[in-house]
Order: sequence, then structure tokens, then C-alpha cells
Amino acid sequence: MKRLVWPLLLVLALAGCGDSASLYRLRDISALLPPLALRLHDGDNRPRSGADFAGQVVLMYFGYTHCPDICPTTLARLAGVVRQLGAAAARVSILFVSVDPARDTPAVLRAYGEAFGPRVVALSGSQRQLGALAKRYRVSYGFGPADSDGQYEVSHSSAVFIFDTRGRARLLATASDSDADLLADIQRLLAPAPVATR
Amino acid sequence: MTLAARWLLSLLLLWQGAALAAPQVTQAWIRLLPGDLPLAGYMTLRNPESQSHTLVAVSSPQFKRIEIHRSLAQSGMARMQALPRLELKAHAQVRFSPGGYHLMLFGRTRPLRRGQTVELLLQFDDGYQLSVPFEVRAATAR
Repeated sequence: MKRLVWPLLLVLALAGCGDSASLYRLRDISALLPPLALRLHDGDNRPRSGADFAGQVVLMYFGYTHCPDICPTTLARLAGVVRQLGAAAARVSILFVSVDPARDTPAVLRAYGEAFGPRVVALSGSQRQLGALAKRYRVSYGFGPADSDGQYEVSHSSAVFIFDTRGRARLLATASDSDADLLADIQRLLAPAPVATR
Repeated sequence: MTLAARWLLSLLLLWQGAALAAPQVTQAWIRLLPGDLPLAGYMTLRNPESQSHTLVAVSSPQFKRIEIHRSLAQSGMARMQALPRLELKAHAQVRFSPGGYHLMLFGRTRPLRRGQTVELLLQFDDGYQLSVPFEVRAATAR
């Protein structure tokens, strides 16, 4: 049976009505999206999978390096917030998934990731791998027409998907969420699980 | 004060007044990305005059091409829109800032490094031109 993939926004709109007293400030997606799973390559052209990030809080964002405004602005913000965690920053990975593998070769990805500091891992994959990942997280992307220099725009989802240290999808951050909310929720995800007491 | 000095002072004030009346730019900076990736330039553009000015072109020997862009977020998707011109209404201010209006800078003619200053020439439809120093900042600047 072919499963119908609802766009994430519609799912969120339907699920948005009954937000109970959550401990978190960002949008709760734990019931809506599957655990972290991906098959991509990094800036050293090494294969990377979701399991590589076990034990880490993962912030995943889809974009492309030829995007001069939104993508670097988002990465600068995420890197800045994660830096505020101090030593705990080592337990957070920011995954930048380029949906533009034609231009974003491993060398481009490596230089790009490094520009944003040690917590950013720039990844990409074949169109097939990227398509599977986009479908899994209900995001879409598209390519605009090329100009005279062969440059083209890529439209992409603007949200940041946040997974806990066990790889479970937990929260969704958008540009309208404050740095303080983002920081507080990452800290909460990093905190050890409370011990049940009676 | 001698008469000559008074004349000089009023001339100076007049000249300063004229210079203050035209569109002004503050907080101009460029976010540096590696290689030859296109870059974004940000600034605050202010028009103290009672007549509007329209920004029609931006150029610099440092870049092959510069466009006026705006980022849009629609239904959770990030997109960009190129604007052929940007009207700066009387007594108005337009902020070019991350996630909104920005200058898109294509094709570096020579390498750029953090901390240096790049002059961009802003041209308005009435022939007014403004050379603006943009500070090159790190990728992680906010």
C-alpha cells in the first residue's frame, strides 16, 4: 500500500490545537515525525548515517551553500546558540543538509561547514538519498531556472528539526522562535532524564 | 568673527545640510562565506528628505554582479525574490538585515578576508550616487 505523505505544515496545523502543558517552548513534533535516519556523505566524502550522531542532540536544517541569506543566517544563529552551552556544546551536532549536490561537492561542503565552527556538519547525497530524507521529514525543495552564469535558486524548507540524544524527533524551530527558547529547549534535551521518585 | 569667517561658516553649514539631506547608509556589512559562494550585504538605508529616492543599481569592482534581493518565507519554505529597484519613501528607513532585504553579491574578482572593507556604489534614479564602505564579517556574524 502506498502511504500518503502529508505535508508537514498541514500535519502541524492539524496537531496544533491541543498543545498540553509541555515542558518545551518550541513546537513539539514527537508524535509526528520518525526517528533520525539518513544516508548521506560529509565534506570528506565519507558515508554518514543517523547512528553516527547517537548520544547527540541533533539540529537538522535543509539548505544549499549558494544561498547567501537564509541558510548562513540560520547556521550562524544555531552555532551561536550552541556555543552558549559551553562544554555541553560538544554533545550537539548541527547538520546542514544540502539539497543541491550538483554544486555542493564534498570540498565545498567541508569549507562551508568549517566556516560555521566545529559543531556544524555539512552533508549531502544523491538526489535519491535526499529525496528519501525529504519525504521522511515531509519537506520539499525545488530548483529555479538557471541564469546566464548557470546560477539558480533553490527553494527549501526553513524549519530546523531537533532530535534528542536517542535520535527521536522532538521539536521544530522556526525563524520566529527566540534564541532564548531554542537554548532552553536544547538544554532540557541534554539534561539527564529525571529519576522517578515516590 | 570677521565677515569672511561668517561667510565661510554659513557656507560650511549649507554644505553640511545638503550632505545630510541625501540618503544615508549605516551598519553596512557583508557576511563572508568560503570559496566563491555568493554573499549577502546588509545595511540600514535612511532617507531624511521629504522626497522619495529609488535605489536602482549597486556595483563594486570587487564583484561581478550585485542584485537587490528579499528573502521570503512562505508556508515553511524559504525563497528569494530579486527586486529591480527599491523605493525609499520620504523620511523612511529600510533595513537590509539577515532573513529580509539583502544585497546579493555574485562572483568575487579577488579574494576577500574577514575584517577588510569593501566599497559598494549605490545609484539612485535621480542620479545621486553614494559610495558605502561595507565591513567584511565572519560567516557566524549576526
